[in-house]
Amino acid sequence: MRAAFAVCAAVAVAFLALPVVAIFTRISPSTLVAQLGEPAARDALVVSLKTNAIAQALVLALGTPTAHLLATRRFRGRSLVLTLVELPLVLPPAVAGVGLLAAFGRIGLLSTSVAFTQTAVVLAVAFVAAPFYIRTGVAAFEAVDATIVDAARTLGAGPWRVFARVALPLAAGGLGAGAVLAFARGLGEFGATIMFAGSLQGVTQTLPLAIYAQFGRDFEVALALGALLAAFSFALLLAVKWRFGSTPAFPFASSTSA
Amino acid sequence: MALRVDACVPLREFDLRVAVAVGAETFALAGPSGAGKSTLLRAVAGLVPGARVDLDGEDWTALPPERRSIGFVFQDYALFPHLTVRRNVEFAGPAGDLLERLRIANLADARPRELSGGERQRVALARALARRPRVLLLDEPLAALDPHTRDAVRGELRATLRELGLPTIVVTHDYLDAAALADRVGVLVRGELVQEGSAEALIAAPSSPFVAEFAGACLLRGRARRDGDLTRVTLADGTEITSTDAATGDVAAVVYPWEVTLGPDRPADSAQNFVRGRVTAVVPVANRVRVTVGAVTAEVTAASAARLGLREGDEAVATWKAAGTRLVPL
Repeated sequence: MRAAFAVCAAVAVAFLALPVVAIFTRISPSTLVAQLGEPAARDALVVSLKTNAIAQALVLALGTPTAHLLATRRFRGRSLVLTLVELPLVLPPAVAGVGLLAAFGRIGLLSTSVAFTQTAVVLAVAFVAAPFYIRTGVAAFEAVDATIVDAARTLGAGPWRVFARVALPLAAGGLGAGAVLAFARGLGEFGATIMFAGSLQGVTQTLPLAIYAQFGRDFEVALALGALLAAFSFALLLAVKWRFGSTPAFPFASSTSA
Repeated sequence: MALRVDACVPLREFDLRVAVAVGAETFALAGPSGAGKSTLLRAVAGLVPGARVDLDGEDWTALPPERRSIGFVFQDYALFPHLTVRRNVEFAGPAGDLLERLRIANLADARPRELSGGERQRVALARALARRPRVLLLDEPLAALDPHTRDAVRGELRATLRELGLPTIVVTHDYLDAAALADRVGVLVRGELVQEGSAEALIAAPSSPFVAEFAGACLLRGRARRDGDLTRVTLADGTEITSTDAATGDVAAVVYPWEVTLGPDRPADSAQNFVRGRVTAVVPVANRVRVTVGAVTAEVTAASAARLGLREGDEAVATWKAAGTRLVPL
């Protein structure tokens, strides 16, 4: 039995690792660097970094209070709110794209003119990434010992000081892991972005979109960008493992929803 | 200086209904687990609603916890794990000489997880005192400690509380802790104070079998000195008793009522302790009777009490073994 299981494991691991290995064997390091100098690649890198930085800032700024509220308050409809927050995690990217258009498109619910602009990229990235952060954040704040928070109150700290000096530092590990997961998800965002923001080089064309745009034209550029994203994802994964010991529990797992 | 509390907090199976006034003294709140003791402390601190709280005519009822001048020591101490000892203390206010006073100055840069139980207890107390509170609340301050540390910390805590002279409520489920720390003990059962009085009064005249069981031991306070293998304890009235435990200085000698026998004369055996005095109380507890002679209470069967025919005011001798006398440092 052990031999059979070992074979299965070998096949599975090889299958999972092969595409990543293939990228790096198909392209030499020098070509990789050269291809990244191509205008399309450089533009995509700039767009990705800029939109992801803004989206992440939004996710952290709005997501942290949201996660704290959901973790510390029990109110009617809390499970419904938690489910709504989790929805983008399971939503097919195409549905997210259509939904964002229906909400923010010119003829959409809010009828704005953000579609096919860089703002649309930011919104798409925030939409898919935020749930990762909020869900891990809820679990992180729930794990903060309520007695320690009470102790801080009795020591003269008002709600703001308790949040800043006690809850936030104690939840920092989990929040950090959630932010890394959200960043990784946002950086790879493809489906919702291409539908809601299009793929205009230098404006809305992020790294994943550039890979898609280039692979018919110049496969070497696509490979180089793929290698860049793969290396980056790998680095993020290592960072989380090094900092938190293991990959943080996936957002669905922990936390009560009652 | 007086803290007045009038609490009415619904709990799962019953309501907590307690009205109590605590002057510049230590009031021990004792009782079985789940009786509502911790809830009462939390209500006084404002962490749960439902208590009218007033300090010297200043109404705290509507104030949030951070605006009540309360030092709260939690059962597991609730130290901030991410802060050093010094930062834990300074979270509440300037540390001043608190680190020195509570002998934690050498631990100033340590994190809570590096500390022993006794050290954590002192840090928790220093932190509670750093906000210069006018009321102290201690939830089972000794429960997290092993028995040996507990004896030492109990004595320190007693001295500290005396020195502070603040209205203090100590929650405990241990009669010995209550007796050692507090001027007055209230017994809380199912949300109600069933009896209130000195530790001595509780043991002499427990109002219910629960109180009798809780107040399991007589405490004779005195000064101990070593005498060969034995320890002699001189009580306040000059009586000398003997214990096989080793101790010196201020102690409480612990004697269980059911180990005390009563008779008209002193024992023939010199290894026995005895107290001669007048019977001050004869209280039936279930099918037994508690008879108090001087500072010692004996629990005897109703039949044996009837045979002795003891009544209040009669002269009697209470006798118990030196080997059965535990000494607890105060």
